[in-house]
Amino acid sequence: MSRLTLIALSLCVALVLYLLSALHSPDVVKGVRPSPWLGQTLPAVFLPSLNSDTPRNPMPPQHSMVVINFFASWCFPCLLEHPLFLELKNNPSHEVTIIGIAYNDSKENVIDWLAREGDPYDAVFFDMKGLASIPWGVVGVPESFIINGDGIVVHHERGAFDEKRLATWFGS
Amino acid sequence: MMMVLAFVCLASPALAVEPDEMLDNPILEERARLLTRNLRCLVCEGEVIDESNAPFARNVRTAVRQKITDGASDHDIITWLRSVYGERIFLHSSPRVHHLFLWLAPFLFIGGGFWWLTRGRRN
Repeated sequence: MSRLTLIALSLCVALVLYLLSALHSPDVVKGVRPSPWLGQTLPAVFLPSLNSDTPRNPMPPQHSMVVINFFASWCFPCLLEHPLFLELKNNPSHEVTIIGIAYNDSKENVIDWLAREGDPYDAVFFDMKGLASIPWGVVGVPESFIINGDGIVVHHERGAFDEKRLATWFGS
Repeated sequence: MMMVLAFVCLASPALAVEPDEMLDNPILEERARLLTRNLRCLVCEGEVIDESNAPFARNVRTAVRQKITDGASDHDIITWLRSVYGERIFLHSSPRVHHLFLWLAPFLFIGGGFWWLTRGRRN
């Protein structure tokens, strides 16, 4: 084999290896889009809540970590992460406010669902016509933001949280 | 048989933009259609926001129309969409320099292969 053939062959092998590794990178496998909100504050929105039809800002006054969780009573994958939020709420070693935002859902269904599955939320708001999901770039349920004490988004989870990824922020 | 036919008919693609979403001004409505035809529905891959029945698509359609009514230019709307959803929302993403490699790669490979083959024959 001539030197040139060898170089061409090794280039081909390198290219194939590179493409294979890119194909198996976690971002491609999960179809993750990088979140534009990391390090940013979410724009203010005003939503009706479970207790009041008067729209108000769902963001609590900041001093602790906040989890904002978009969910729906009709959403199956939400059931997978729901026990994790219940556990987080009942764990006294974490000072965290969990805000639920019901996405395209009715009050009756949400009340039923929370009674059935347990209620980990400090407050529940309603997003009916994309009032919060549109300015925040949320595309469906479940989807969550973790916000630190300064109001900065530190994590944006698209899809259901799994135990491991939630534990990176709220380890036991 | 009739059942099957009925299902086939029902499954025929419906125009997803519903009458209550449309803007009264046909020129503005046409702008909205043109914009949303180039948007990928991020929850129903393979569908266009203009044609999808997903709640997400409906919300984006409504938001784009709201921005148009508020006087935003197409450029404003595209910049806003990019900042909130990233480049992926666009079916036709804006060209980047490194995309050039992707377009030229087949020609490079085929050309290189020919060159290599003919070179081998000469020897």
